[in-house]
Amino acid sequence: MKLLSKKSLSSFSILPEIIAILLAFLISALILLFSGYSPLVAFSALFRGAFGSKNAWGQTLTQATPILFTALAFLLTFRTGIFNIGVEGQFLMGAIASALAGIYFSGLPAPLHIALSLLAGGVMGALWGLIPALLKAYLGVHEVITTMMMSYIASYLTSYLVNYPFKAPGWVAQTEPVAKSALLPKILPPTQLSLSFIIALFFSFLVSFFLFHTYLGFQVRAVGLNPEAAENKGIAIKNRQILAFLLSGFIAGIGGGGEILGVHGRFVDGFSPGYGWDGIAVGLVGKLHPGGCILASILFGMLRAGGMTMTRVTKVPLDLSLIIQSLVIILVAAPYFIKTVIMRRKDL
Amino acid sequence: MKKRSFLMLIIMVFLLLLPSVCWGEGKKIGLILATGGLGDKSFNDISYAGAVRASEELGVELDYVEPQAVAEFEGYQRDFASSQEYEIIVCVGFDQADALDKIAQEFPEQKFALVDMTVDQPNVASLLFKANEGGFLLGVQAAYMSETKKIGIVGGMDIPLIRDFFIGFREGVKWADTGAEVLPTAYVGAWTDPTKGKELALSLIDQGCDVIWAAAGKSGLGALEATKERGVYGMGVDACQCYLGERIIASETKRVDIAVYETIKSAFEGTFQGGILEKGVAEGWISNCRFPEEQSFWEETFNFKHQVEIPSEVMQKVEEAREKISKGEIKVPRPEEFGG
Repeated sequence: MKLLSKKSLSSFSILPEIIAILLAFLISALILLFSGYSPLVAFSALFRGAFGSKNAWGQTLTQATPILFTALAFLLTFRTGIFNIGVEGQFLMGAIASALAGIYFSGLPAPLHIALSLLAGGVMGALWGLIPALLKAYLGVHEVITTMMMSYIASYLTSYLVNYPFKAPGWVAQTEPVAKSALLPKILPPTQLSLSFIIALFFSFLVSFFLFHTYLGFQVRAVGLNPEAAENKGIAIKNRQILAFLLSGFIAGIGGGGEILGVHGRFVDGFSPGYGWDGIAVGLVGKLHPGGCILASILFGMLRAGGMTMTRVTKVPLDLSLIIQSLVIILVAAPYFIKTVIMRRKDL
Repeated sequence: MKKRSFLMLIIMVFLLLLPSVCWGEGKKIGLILATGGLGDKSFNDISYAGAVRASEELGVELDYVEPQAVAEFEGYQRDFASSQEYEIIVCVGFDQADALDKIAQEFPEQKFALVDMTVDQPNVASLLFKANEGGFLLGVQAAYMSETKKIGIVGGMDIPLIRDFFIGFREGVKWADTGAEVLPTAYVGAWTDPTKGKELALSLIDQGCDVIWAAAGKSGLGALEATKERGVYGMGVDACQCYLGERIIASETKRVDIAVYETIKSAFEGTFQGGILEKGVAEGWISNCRFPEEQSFWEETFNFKHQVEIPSEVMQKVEEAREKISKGEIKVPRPEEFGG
């Protein structure tokens, strides 16, 4: 146990990640320079837009919230050795369930209504995660295929639901607004930042506690690290993987619900520009650790929010902040490269 | 190893934290496009063209953004408004309305314009178009161009906004008095279902129609595809869609560029007024791509040539209709929701 905690400590050294991020900015600066923009002006706009004012902070954290949820969902399954790329689907199903609960369970006191709506989202997300979990555990269907397909199904299903059965009058594909009592309070008015962010932080803590301080979490990690050894120790692999899928779906679903009840107030078709997919990247950049994911999601939120200001004031296309994001992902996902080539270290 | 990363840190700190240069003086134009962004050959491109024209003629800077998701509208609007650098902020597309309603109240001193939807705030100019009048002009053309004397129309959804187009169209066909009739409207029920759009158009053609007008977003592209396949005439909407096929003869054009241009100009000249600005054929906000001045504009914009010649006596008739509508001699009916 002592050995394990020491190892997890050293693997949590974030120096390579910081270097990767700086390197990504450096390469982006060169790209900017060669495209005829001033990196100075662009990056100062980026930082001003991300952290320069109350509005900026609100934007950054608002953008970070959904991807923190999806990153947590992703890392939970990844820790059991499952590559769940269906977080987007669980997120969307959670969002629609929360929206419907928010609309139709009206007449409740606000805290109860919010809790119930979020719970509906979580349960729906968990159920959506259960399908590939069962397929994997009992039929051996590979989760990459099923989870990806389940994402597409969720995307089209929710689109259908808000285009036909639950469509609000008018010509936007969206549901009716949720009842006032289901809206999450804003925590930094007038920005869009809502209580959903605090909930996301709370879940980061929960996931961290679960993984590193409970016996069940230890088993979950053991299954991911070495399934055969875990099985020999008498851990039921299938059960742990199904559990991870359920928890993952639950968190993704809550995230979807938080986005609906906190930001949009209704399910709008196409509201997610791919938060679930971003979660995979954030999970990896965050080194599969909830604490790391908080930092990584804020980094991504910063790039999105700051990217807005950057495109507005400098005419640098938004694509460039997407390039920075991609560079961060590539460089962070290549730790061996950073460690050996740049830090000249082979021992990590 | 430490040296290198340290060096890199130093470089980054310099790159990132040096003070930013000052921005130009004077107020600018802000433009927030609809999701979908530039390159859609429709709303976004046309709105952008109008803003560029205003920027060039007024000699002021234009900043524009292309949001990727509905969630970003509010952030962009607040970002633009709170910077206080903009004389006017133009928002394109009906789905910005919810966010703008909020932001307009947050920044009551900031002028906004919203294309294609209404927001009831004193500092927002809602730019609307009398689509029924353009439908009328198109109906006149269709009545003359049809040989079977049967005309079909395909709509996206059975909503006032779309009925507005068709009420005008039917009236135009009637006014032309060539004995042509318009079959009952076929509604796709969705904006994004080209397959069903095509099916509906094919069934209209099977019933003898040889002119098909589609006002149905992406579903309409399927209907136009059907006209291509069967060799009958097609008609388009919003932008000139005639570049999509040789036998697409005319489109009702919504000149968002003119609306955007005029609104921006009014803001800089101090004549800006909030409220609903609804204009049509008389003001050139609604038109037809076969009028000479329109035809050259669209052919240049989309780099193509109209293939089917519309006889000059037909165009004279359409011209006559335009004049009469402009003078108020013809009053084109509207759905009751639009005060018709």
